[in-house]
Amino acid sequence: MADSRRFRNIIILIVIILLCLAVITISFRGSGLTERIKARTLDIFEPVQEKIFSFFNPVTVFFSSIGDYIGLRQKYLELEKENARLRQRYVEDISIRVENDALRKIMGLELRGEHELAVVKVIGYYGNRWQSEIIINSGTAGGVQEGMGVMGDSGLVGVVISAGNSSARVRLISDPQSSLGARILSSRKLGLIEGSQEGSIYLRYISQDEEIYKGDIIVTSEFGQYLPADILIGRVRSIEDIPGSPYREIEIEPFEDLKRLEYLAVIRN
Amino acid sequence: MKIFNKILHFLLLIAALIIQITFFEHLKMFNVYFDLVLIMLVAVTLINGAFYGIISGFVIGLILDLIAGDLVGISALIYALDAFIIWNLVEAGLKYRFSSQVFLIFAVTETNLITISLVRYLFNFDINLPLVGLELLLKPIFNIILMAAVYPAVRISMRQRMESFELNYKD
Repeated sequence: MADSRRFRNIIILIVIILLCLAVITISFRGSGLTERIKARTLDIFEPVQEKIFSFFNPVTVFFSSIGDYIGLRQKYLELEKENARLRQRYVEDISIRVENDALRKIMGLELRGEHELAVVKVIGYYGNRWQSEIIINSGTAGGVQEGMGVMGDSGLVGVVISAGNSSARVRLISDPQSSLGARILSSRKLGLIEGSQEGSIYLRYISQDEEIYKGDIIVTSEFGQYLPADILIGRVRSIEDIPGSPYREIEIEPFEDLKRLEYLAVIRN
Repeated sequence: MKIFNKILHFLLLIAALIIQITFFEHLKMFNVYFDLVLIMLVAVTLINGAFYGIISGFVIGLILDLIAGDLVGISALIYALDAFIIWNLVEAGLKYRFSSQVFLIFAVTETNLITISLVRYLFNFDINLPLVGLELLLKPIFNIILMAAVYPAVRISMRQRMESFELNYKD
């Protein structure tokens, strides 16, 4: 009896292993069927997931904010300085914008439009060495489509990779499979923003002879299919010249804290 | 009653999966996280036997992949494999001790990491060896801590089947 049960379990396991390998292969090759099933499953679990996420949210916020208390005074002083600088720049920017709009009208060019945004809530997070994704509580019914950009208060967070009816999956910019066109704001040089397995974000394909400085701001480029240009991504944290490589290794510090995402906006246009 | 318990245990696994996605992913340190689904799967396999463990591991892994995975089928594969390993280790004669449960969690966590890395490597993903090493070192510790916190609660809530949970394997 015990032997027959053991035999049955081995057979079941072999069948499951073969089935899983087949499913992994189909999923790896990017089947539309698996994407549709994924979207359906997301929708089924969305209501309960949203409730449980809200239930645990205070505890999550408590744990993730413990680290914030270290060096709080120093951070406050730095932000005060930055705020004063930004206030000054804001006034200048408004003048430039008015001037720009007037010139565009004279030249018959289209005025720069505002982005159409849909506010969404994060209801799940999933990350390991190979992926960093979040789940949001809005899908195709709310106008969210695959490929749309998702941003927080301070900058770009990621891109929608799969949209169900009432929920969607967003690949974060720190995901190793993420790759987005970007520009250095000051020099207008183009590069690619890519995630990595250790969770850091890098600006790739900037050659050794390009001038780039720590603190330079990185924005999205205009060459993305869905992502509009000039969405803030982050600033340069470190620059390293790798011997033998034509490119520099530039690490980016995202403006948005990717570990603490709650309410976000999907860029719909 | 037996069927009712099995359904209840499967619902517990679903609850663990949702709590994993909504809460435990935020408690990451050094990019390593607690795997509540694995811990619950070990408990459920010890209570209900290998067959139930393999099937429920496969189903729960598949749901996890469909909700949040990039490669569908990878979690289903490792969780089904975990249940099989637990069954073999228990049949090999593990006696009820805290150290036995620690060993079980250690063994399945390491197997998971190695299997995932291997499958990903076969499917052309990059493998960062220092990160794999760090995870092999830290993740079993994380899971053992979680096990120590969760299993007393599991024991209390499933008092009627406590003897099977204490590694008197029933299959």
